[in-house]
Amino acid sequence: VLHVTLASATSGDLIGRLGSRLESVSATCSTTSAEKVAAEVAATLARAGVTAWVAVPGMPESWLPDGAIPETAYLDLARDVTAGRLGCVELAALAVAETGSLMTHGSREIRQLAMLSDVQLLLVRAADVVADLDQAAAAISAMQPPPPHFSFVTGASRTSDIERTLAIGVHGPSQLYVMVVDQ
Amino acid sequence: MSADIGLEEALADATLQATLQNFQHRWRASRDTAMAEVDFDRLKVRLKAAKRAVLDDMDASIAGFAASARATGAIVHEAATAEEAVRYMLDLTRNRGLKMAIKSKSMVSEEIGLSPALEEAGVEVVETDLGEWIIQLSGQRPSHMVLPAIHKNKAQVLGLLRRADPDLPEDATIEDMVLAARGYMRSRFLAADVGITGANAAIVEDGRLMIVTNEGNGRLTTTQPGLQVTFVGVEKLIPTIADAMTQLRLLARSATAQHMTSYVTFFRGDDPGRELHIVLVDNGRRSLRARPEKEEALQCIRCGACANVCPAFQVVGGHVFGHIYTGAIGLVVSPELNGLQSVAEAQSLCLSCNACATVCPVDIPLPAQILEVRRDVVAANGLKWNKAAGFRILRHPILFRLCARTLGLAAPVVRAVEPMLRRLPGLRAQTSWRRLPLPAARPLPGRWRRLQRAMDRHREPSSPIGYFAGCITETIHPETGTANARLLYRLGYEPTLLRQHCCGLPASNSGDWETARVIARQTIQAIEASVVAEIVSGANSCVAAVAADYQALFRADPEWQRRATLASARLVDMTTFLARPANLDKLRVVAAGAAPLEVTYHDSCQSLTALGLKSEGRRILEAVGCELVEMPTCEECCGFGGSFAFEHPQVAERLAERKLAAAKDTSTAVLVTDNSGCVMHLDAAARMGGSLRAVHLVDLVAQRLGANL
Repeated sequence: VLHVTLASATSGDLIGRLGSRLESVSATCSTTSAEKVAAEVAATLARAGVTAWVAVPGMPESWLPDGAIPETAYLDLARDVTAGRLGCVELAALAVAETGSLMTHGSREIRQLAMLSDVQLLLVRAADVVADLDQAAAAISAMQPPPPHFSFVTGASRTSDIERTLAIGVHGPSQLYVMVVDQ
Repeated sequence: MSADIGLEEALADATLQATLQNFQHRWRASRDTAMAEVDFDRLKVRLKAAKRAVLDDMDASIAGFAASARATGAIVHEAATAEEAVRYMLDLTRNRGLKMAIKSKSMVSEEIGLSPALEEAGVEVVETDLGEWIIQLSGQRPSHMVLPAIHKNKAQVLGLLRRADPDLPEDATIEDMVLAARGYMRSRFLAADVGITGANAAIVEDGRLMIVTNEGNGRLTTTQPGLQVTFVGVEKLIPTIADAMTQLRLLARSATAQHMTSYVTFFRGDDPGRELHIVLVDNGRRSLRARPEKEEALQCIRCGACANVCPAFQVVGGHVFGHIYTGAIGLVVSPELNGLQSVAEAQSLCLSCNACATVCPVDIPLPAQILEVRRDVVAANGLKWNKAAGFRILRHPILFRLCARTLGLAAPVVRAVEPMLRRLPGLRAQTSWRRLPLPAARPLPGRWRRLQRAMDRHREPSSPIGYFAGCITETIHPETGTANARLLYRLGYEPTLLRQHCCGLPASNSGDWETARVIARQTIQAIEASVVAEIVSGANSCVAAVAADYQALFRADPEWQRRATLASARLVDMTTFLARPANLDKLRVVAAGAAPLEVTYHDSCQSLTALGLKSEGRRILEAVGCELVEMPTCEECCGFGGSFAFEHPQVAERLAERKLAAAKDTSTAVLVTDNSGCVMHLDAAARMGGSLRAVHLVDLVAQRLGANL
């Protein structure tokens, strides 16, 4: 079954699986190279209609286009949900092909940036795409020091609490973009 | 809580009924698709093993988790009772001067009554899960563990949200409402001085907690306020992170038919800038652990799947079917967590159809556990007078037959006044939707003797076999008994009628185990007294009862348990019997040339889930030249449930109606099933109008072979 076959899959298979899983939850997944990633990020933010964006520390400077605003200014904007369309760009530690999930383990400040955004853009290195949740658990258990707080993000903030009708963006991002960076 | 929906109100609410029915059907289809991606049985075994390890030494697991959590800097408090858990929060509130709490969805906080206590102490409590917020605004209890506001329609939700946000227009769409909630919640998230959460799992190995939310409110609540209090029932412990992954695979699929929930958050005490308090709530869980026949319920992961397939839940909703925890698991755990009386009424709504057990991701034997609760309720509150009187009669075969005979002779009179009975307000619920099932003037034993004399005249060499009729066939549908006999003769057997009047199922299903044991002993003795080795029966619920229920009835009596096992081994249902290759071959030969007939098939609950029959009945139909037109809902309960149809006639009526409507959609004229109870129930309802008839498989097969034997 699923995670058994995935365990022996190639990196390309895993990325394909990750992408189709993300598509099934209305997220967008693309693959890019380290050279092109900055331009792709800029294009994605523009396509998503982002009016201001922030970059979470932790990824190579060269991966980011110009134009990020400081964290304090971003958090000020986030107080009012109608103030604009906020984007947050972050590097995920892992991606899980089985479920189409991105694992992030940022600090409280970083999580605020991510969860108060309208558009979340998560980058992940191709080498960090693992087959299934079991491999993810093993990788997390091996982290030193162990992350005090981590999440699997699989899509946007969604609810079906009113008449079982799907609606997005109830608290956090209403759109999730994922970019697999092949180095 | 007067705001909650009562039974009568639920039955009268067509919108609610349609909502729940649509939801269950949609859930079932997408859950099955999602579950097909994984090896459900293997994952169940893995998760059960993990939960078992915790339950095997609950105290050590709790101590282990507390130690790991404290090592990360979390402040761990063990609360023995709901009051203790609430007091901890109230003390913290007072000491820290807390003003505003944001909450992510937590069933245990509902169980202990946390929010009302905090509000009384002057704290503004904001439920951040949209469904929970709607419920909070309405002053009701959640009606479903995963979908708390499933009983509210869009207009009702809008009315409630406009109380919080008067700017919402009267014609607001669902999208507008969600955006309004986003704005309202954003300001609360930023202003709150404490976050309160529950947990889907508490991981022993590293003192970590797991929260699963689609909205992301769990991630926000564990991020934004610097102070956090997590309430977790001690049954949520799980040994390792790897085990939590197994739980995730089953939880998302079982709860919302997703392969993964949008946000799964893991956290512990060493998150810089935040202070974490963990309140480990017992509140009756150790008492539940001490009851061997119920303790498996502590493996529950609160996915709500048991409610999503429950036929009675589909009709009445979670305010009626459960207490704080709804659905089958709610009936099982509430006595220990919130007192036996909390589900004294609700437990009577279980039909023992077993649907919940088939989807439970940790294989909890819910139907059997609900019968334990029912027994406890009867022990505490007594039986209703009419049941008590009925069971007194049922204990004595002679008295029972005398009553059935008398009623049978009076049946023409009852039939004559039946239209009048339908108009009597007190009897309308029982009579408006069905022809009352009444005993026949001539019950089976007399008919059997006559038939046997006729058969003996053209006797051919044949093999002896026993026949177990069951009370419905003996008294109400004796023609099924004679059809059975003719069929057996035709297949080369010589049937002997077992001297038996009832298997005891009506009593055990009603919580009167004392009576059930008396009758079960009579049945076992009747089987033991039979000189023929194999005994067949068309009463599949009875066959299942002898096999499974008797083991529970005689739990404290190994000798009778052993005798029950031996008796059960000799009893076989007619469906299994006819589906044996040799019998199928004979059927094919004898039925060759019968005119084609289109029929639809209802899988009776006991046949499907207790006896494991699925293809057998269909193969028999095919052998006798029937063409099957399937109903999509062929596996849903028809609403009979033994005495259920008389105790809750309006619920039974709705379920019969739905089954008959599905059968009519197939455009066939015959609804076939292999359980005498379902036949009695469905045919009684079908005869109120239209040409559709419910027929026992055995009757149909006998008809197909020609009445002339």
